[in-house]
Amino acid sequence: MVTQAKALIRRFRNARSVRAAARPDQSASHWRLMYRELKRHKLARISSVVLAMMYTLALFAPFIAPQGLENYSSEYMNSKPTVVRFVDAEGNFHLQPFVYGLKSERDPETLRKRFVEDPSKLFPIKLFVRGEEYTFLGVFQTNVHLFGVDEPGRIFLFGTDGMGRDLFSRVVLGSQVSLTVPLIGVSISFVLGLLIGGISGYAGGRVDAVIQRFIDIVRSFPTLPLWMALAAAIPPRVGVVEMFFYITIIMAFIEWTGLARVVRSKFIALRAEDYVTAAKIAGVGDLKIIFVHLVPGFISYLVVAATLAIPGMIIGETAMSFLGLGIRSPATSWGVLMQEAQQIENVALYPWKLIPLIFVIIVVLAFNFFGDGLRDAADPYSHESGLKSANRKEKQRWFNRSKGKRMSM
Amino acid sequence: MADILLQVDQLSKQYPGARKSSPIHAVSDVSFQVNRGEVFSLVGESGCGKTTLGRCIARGLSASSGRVLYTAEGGETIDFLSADNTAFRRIRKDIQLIFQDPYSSLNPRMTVFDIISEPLRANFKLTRRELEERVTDVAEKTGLNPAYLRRYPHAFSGGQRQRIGIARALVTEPKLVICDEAVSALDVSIQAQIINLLKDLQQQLGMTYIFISHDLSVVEHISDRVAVMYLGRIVELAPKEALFVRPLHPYTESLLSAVPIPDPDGRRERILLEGEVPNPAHPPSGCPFHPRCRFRTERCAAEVPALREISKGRLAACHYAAELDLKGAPLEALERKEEVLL
Amino acid sequence: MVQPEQGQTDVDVTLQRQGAERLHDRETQEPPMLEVRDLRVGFRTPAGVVQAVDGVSLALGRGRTLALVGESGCGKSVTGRALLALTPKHAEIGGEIWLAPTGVAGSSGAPGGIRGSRFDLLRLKPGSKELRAVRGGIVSMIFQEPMTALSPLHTVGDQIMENVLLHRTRSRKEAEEITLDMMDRVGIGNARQRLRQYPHEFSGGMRQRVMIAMALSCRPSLLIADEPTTALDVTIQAQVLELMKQLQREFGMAILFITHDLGVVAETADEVAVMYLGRIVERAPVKELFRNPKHPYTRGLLRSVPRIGNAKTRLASIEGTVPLPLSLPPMCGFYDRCPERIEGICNRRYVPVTTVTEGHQVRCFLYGGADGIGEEEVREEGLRHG
Repeated sequence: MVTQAKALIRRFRNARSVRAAARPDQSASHWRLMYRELKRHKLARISSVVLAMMYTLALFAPFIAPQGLENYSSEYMNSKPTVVRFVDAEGNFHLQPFVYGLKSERDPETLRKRFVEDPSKLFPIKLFVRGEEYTFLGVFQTNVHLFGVDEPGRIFLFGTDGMGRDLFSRVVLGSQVSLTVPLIGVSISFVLGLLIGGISGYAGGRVDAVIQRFIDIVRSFPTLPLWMALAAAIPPRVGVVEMFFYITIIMAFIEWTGLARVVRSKFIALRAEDYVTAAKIAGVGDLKIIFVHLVPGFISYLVVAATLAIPGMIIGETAMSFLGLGIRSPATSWGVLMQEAQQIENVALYPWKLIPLIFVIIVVLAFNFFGDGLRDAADPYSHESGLKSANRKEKQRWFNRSKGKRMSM
Repeated sequence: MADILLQVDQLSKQYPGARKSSPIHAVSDVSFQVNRGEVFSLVGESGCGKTTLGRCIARGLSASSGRVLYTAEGGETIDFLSADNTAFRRIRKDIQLIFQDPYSSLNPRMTVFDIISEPLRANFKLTRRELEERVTDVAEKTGLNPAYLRRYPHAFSGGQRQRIGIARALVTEPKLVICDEAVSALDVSIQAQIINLLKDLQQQLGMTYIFISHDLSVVEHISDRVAVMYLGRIVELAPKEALFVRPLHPYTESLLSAVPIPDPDGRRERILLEGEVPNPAHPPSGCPFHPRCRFRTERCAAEVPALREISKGRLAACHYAAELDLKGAPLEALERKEEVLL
Repeated sequence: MVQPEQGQTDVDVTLQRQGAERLHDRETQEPPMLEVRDLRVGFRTPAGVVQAVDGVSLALGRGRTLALVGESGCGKSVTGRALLALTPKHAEIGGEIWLAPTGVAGSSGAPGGIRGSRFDLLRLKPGSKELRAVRGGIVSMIFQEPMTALSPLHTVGDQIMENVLLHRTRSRKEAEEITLDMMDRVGIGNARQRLRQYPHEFSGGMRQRVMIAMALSCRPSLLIADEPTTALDVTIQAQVLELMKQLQREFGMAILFITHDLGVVAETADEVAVMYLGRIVERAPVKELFRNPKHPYTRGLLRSVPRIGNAKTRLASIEGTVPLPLSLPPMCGFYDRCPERIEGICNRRYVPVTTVTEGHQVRCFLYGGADGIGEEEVREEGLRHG
């Protein structure tokens, strides 16, 4: 009897979870299915959280960064990261974290200047401190920063660079450029790709051949010299904003070709689908077929391709800045920071200067994983194979029956 | 004289061949008539051009040459393939097509309502209310629950999807429906449901079908007249009973003899064809069937036989059609069988 | 009281085993070539376990052909693959598959050395030498779509030869001879030349012949043919079926013929097993099944096939569609579509197998199985379950 009861309970549980999984299916649109499929992809889920955090960081950058772009202090050049502490030298626990003051001394062997903590001076970390003036979200003029310590204390979470600038602040502020250039660049190439790829796929014949050969040519340029040539075309003394704009254009100019190819091949593949022929036979006009049947058919693949193009652009921007072709100090991006850290001396003596690299790696990986998840989700129908053939009504009856059984028990 | 609804006249469709090779003749010079209210079947093996022919008639593909003369309600006859825009707008809705694959023929991103109503929206200016009325009406006729119209195709099984495809084809109240292997992809028990549905709808709505299939048992079940195709040509055309009882073309004979019959007692001598269907890019000289034909002569290799009338209503493209005595399907054995079964 | 599911399945097994024993009584005093006992294959999906094969038992003697018939999703292909231990990772497999291969092939240098003994396929370790010796050597398979089963990168000769080299001989020269002979036997003319061609140079029917040559090159004891002619045209289908029959006469292998086409069944099989929703619902010699179908599903299936010569009658169809085999309650899987269902019995209890006549078994209460318990008891039984 007990085994029977257990079997019944097990059966009921199965049925319930199936029902929960099956119900939203019936009238779920493509995007809903895609979203559900994406949620099942663990790495993509984690990546989306990471990316959300990164973009929040970029959005609130001047507020989160304790220092502004122009701040530097010659006293604290090449200082190592400040340690945030809860327990002081006497072993007392402080609820509010604090940092020690820094004093410089000379290494007796190498005679190099180095910083050591001074346990006699204790600076608690405070929230919402006043500091450098900045414009928050482009609207409010304010000087409140998320955290900081009172003068003369200093907090350098990631240490400082050779000019005594806080590296943490620069990483945070640099993310604004490094994370938005690819987004805008990809948007531009998205539009270009959709348009040119669409024309290529729709027109076919000679137009298609010309466009495809042009794409071949653009893609066959080695990117590095191309960037250099294009960067050389940028006027030498331009403002940060314009520079930003130029870089984006350069990136987009190369990237659109890949997207155009995705659009073209999908266009051709979908045109041969039976449901497109069905629409044609039903008398639906050409333009309408394109916008009702073809574009929605490949837009999800295009989104995937675009997402997977972003990491390439992040690396591209980083590479350009690294080569000194892009943004220049004091304006900053992750590429600029890495360029500043490129001497072997820095790597050996001041390894914290490589922290921006970690950010680049994390963001690139996150975009790749997220793109992978999207790609798997882009065709939600293929994953349903087991459920696809099932008649829902029929299934519902099975469930109801097992439910009824349980109730009478 | 029978009331002719559609007259296909010398229809040809060529695909450009690969580099330097000659074009592939998927359909060559096909002519036939379809009478109002009948089921006209096109039978043949894969690659014989039957699907291409069906799609050309419905203008899903553009034919290379030939005419499809359609006689509209008022008695006027228009070439469906070359009709000018205004005329074509009027008759477009009269010829519709049902597809073989219930999966690829429905756009997965549209709701069932949008799929079924698409031909209506393209051909008529209807209010939302009228649209809903007509879609609900056709859904009920085809055995779909109207409550499910807001769902997406992926929520349906193959058989139900095929019903959606049928509803889409019938929503404009066409005069002629081309069923392109409409039941071939379905399971036996579902296939029977759909065949019955198609038959019922035809009687109810007075439609004419061009039924394209490779399955001779299904064809025998549903059609009035049958045309057998081989390598892009019609090789035999006859009323169903005549064709099944006494075929005039050797190819028809071997087709009939190859059909597996669900009766272990009915095992019989087979006429096994040698070889396979030739590549349509390099068709044989003379009669396209001659390399596989057991009656071939030198004349067959040299001369293309024309499709000619052998007796009233019976056409065959074989030089010796009048002389050969060919075997039909073993009918008597089956009839006996039926009594036992039912 | 009667234990549900597990207990009654044992009864089935016993019945099937009796059938099998009769089989080997009748012929030589050997156990049947293939004996499957209570095979279960389930797939874990996010929505729960889909029980694709739910307690299948069958036996097949040497040189015989058993057709496994059913509609898509009934578990017939999964059963076929399980006989080669070819189930995906997320599958749960249970039961026993006993093989008693003969030492027909003069397997000089063949690895494994399993021939001649009787063993349970499911007990062999995945990836083991024995299992590899079974696949292709003792049991081989031909698929529906030969194009996807052949590698486009290798010549047809190499692909057939690979199998020969694995199981029969180590000498390339000898292997080539065997390959040429096989290609000859399956009717591929001009074998020496076609040996060096690639699959795309073959037509559909010829590719299926290559598949058959590959499958039979090592003289397997059992050939699993999964819808081998479904993708072919009727005239080609007739050729391939004829070829398979002829090769069976020659080599004496047993064939498990998986198909949905009752016409093909009637022409090829000695015995038929009809599957529905992962279970065998009826099993009989082919003539008996077509003349005297018992299970309502079998009868529905036979009636819904259009056949030449009865165009006047309307096709009888089975209403509804096949439900998904998810968390099946102990009842008849066909209940919802059955025109002869008995409420309170068919939907209350697990259906046992009943023997109608010798060799003809059916899983339906219309022919017994509910005996021993009267109306009252059945109801009580139902209540106890509920």
